[in-house]
Amino acid sequence: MSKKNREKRASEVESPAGEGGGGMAWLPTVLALGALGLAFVAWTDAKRTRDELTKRIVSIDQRLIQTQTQVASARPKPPQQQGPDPSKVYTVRLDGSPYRGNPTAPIVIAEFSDYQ
Amino acid sequence: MYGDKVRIVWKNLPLPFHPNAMPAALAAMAANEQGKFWEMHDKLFANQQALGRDAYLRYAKELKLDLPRFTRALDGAKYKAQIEADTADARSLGVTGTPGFFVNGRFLSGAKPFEAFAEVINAELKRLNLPVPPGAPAG
Repeated sequence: MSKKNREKRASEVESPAGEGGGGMAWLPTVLALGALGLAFVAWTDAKRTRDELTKRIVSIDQRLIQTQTQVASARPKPPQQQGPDPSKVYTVRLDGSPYRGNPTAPIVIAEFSDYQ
Repeated sequence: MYGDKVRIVWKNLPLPFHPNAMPAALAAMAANEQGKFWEMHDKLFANQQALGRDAYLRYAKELKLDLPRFTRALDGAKYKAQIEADTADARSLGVTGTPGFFVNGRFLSGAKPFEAFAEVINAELKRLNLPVPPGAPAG
């Protein structure tokens, strides 16, 4: 009985120590997993934030383009070429009009004007 | 510089918001009847701020025109139809402001520097195989 008791005690004495060593061994793993978990959460969070920001930037861009288009269409158009097309050759009726210079000159300048 | 290479033809375009423009055009055409168009034109142009019937009669006297004849043409608006025909030509060509120029049919708008005219004139002379006068701005 005494031997058995001694063994039992030994096992009881050893056991807590053994269990204690095993309990400390999982801690780094748990911590590492925890850190990993936190990192994952942080990464997911950052990704979600980034995705949302990207979406908002895209929507802001679109609205900016819309606004620019509206402004461009609202703005008065630059005055179109007023009057005759400078690249065309027109026929101007000249009979009976006062003129000066050589009546058979190769260059004829018709001047439309008034005095005021 | 272009001498006998150029003829300048006057087309009347009295603008409606220039109240003295039509009477002045009538005065110039009345002088034209007596062969003094450009002389009257120059006086009218030089005195744009002092247009009016008294001035036209004074210029006519200075130009030694037949005054009764001039006065009849002026007061009777004798050349109004011709002036209006010029204005109609301007409208159909699309000329809306003064001055507007056509150099051999090519439009130049507004009071342009001499170089702008020289450019078109030189191009026309080249097109017609005519010499460009020395000293003319390169076009």
